[in-house]
Amino acid sequence: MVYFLFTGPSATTLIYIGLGLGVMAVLLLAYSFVYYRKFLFHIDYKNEEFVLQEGVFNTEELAIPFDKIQQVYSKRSILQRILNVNSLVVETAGSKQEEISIKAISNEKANQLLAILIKVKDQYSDELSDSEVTGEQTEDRLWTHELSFLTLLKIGISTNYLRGLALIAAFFTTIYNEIRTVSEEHSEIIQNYLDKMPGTVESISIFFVIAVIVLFLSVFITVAEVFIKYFNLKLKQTKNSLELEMGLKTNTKVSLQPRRVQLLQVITNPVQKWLNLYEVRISLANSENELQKSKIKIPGLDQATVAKVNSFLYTEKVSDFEETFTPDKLLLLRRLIISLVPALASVFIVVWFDYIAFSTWLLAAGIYTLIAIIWQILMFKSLKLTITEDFLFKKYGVWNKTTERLETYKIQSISVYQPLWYEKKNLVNIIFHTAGGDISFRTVNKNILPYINYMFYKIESNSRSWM
Amino acid sequence: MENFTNKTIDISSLPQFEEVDFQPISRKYLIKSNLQTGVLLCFVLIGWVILFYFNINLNQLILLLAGIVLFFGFQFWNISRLQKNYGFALREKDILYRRGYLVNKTTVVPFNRIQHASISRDVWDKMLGISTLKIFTAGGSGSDISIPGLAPDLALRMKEALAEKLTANES
Repeated sequence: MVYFLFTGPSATTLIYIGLGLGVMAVLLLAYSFVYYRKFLFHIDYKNEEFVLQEGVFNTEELAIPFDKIQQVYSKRSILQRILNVNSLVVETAGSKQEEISIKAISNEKANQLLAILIKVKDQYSDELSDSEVTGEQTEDRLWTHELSFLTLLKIGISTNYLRGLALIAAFFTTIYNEIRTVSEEHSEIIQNYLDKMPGTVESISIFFVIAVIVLFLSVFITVAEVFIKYFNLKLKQTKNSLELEMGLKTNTKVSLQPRRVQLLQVITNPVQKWLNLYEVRISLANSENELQKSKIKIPGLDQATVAKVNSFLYTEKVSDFEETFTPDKLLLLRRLIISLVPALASVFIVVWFDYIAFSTWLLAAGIYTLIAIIWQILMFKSLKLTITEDFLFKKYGVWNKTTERLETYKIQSISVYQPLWYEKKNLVNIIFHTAGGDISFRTVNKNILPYINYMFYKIESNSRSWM
Repeated sequence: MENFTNKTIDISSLPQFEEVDFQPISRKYLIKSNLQTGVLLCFVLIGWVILFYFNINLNQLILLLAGIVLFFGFQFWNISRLQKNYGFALREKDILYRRGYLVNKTTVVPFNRIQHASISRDVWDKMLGISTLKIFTAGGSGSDISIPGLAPDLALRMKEALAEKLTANES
């Protein structure tokens, strides 16, 4: 371009550029035309689905059964207004690819198609909701749970004191290092100064006061955070849903219906358990990119309320069987090797670059290794998968203990992995896919497979709608 | 409610998904994988020849060539292994799809959890006359399956059979 600016293009270059652009334009037009001709949709009444074909080089054929259609609507942009066409959007539940949009459809046709699709869609959803009402006649014990000021304070203090401890540790180590370097440089002056100082007890107490202030600040920040997020949290059970309201700045209101709930997590740690505080997380069915958003956190529930939430969301039955599975030692070995890689890698750094003394490194690496081994062993011991007649539970966590609960019939599909090196030990990794996220369990013995088959039996013989 | 029963189920007597016979996919998919890797290999070799032409550092170039040979050798070997492990099976109430050699993976999708199915064909597929059947669920990308290397009419028949099952499930 710069070359052209200075000399001006010659006639032949101009012609070539013009020709090139012309060819490009023709190709683009041809592509658009073929794309237009190949973009076809129709309604297949026999198979009860909406079919769309598109693509020039890669042909894609999409078929959406009537009952999977969640929403149909039309919209227009300015350009579409000028051209007097509409966009027709057909939304379905599930992953990202499942949204159809027909970009340019005439008003008349759009309305026609809209009417047809809404009609067939309603027909199916009516049938579905009818069957649900009859199926869900649970007892309607109504209750309300509110978070008091004190509970919010407790949550604030107990959730993030680790951060507080880390802050204090960081504070003291920096102070210690400062003092050491300063005292080495000016040992005489300090000696004189120290003589004038009131005494060691008082200087230690100054440190203590500062430490308390730091801890207090960190707790205060967390408490403020908790207050802003969960102020005025109210959990109310109505006849067929759980109404949740919370937040100071942005007031969130959610209505939880048992049918929509895909996954339930209950999290607590020893301190919170002692204070009778449990956090409940609920995943709802939503499209993939909104998965994060659709996880609802409700902190500060006592054990009785957690039980009430559970009994509202799930119909508890006495299960005929209860099988608990634990991972194989191979998993522990694998985790240990992975977590020890940083320690081993740091050997090279110590050997090649002379940053720190070997003894200091040995101490640091030793402490790291010890903590890593203890942590991994505890983590390994905490992993448990329990299968009952209607539910699947996964328990894990060293400090924050999590229990995940999944109703078997809400599983979308199951993947079973077997790396070559598992074959001899008869092990598999299993992933349960749900509309609210995956639950995976690694290195479990193959004798779990009959239970997986049982789950398929449960899913496939159940006509209840999963959302 | 008259014909409601609640028998105890003997778990070991249920049909076992791991005992199912899998159908292999078309051998043309092997050709496609090899062609794709072959084309990539050509580009990489052209790149290497250009470097050789400019005569950069002979030792490094030999090392690079060894790397290329090793990598593509592994690729072609892996492709032939993978081809043997691709397999699918239709049961009365679900579809099974198996793939992977180093890590063998089987996904089972019950028909009443399928959102929709589609057929896609890229340029290679069109040249070789094969199709890919994609099956979508609401369980995210890990739960969706796409079976490559199917004869076009088989893919179409399967898609239609699935559609039929989907609607039959609701009634």
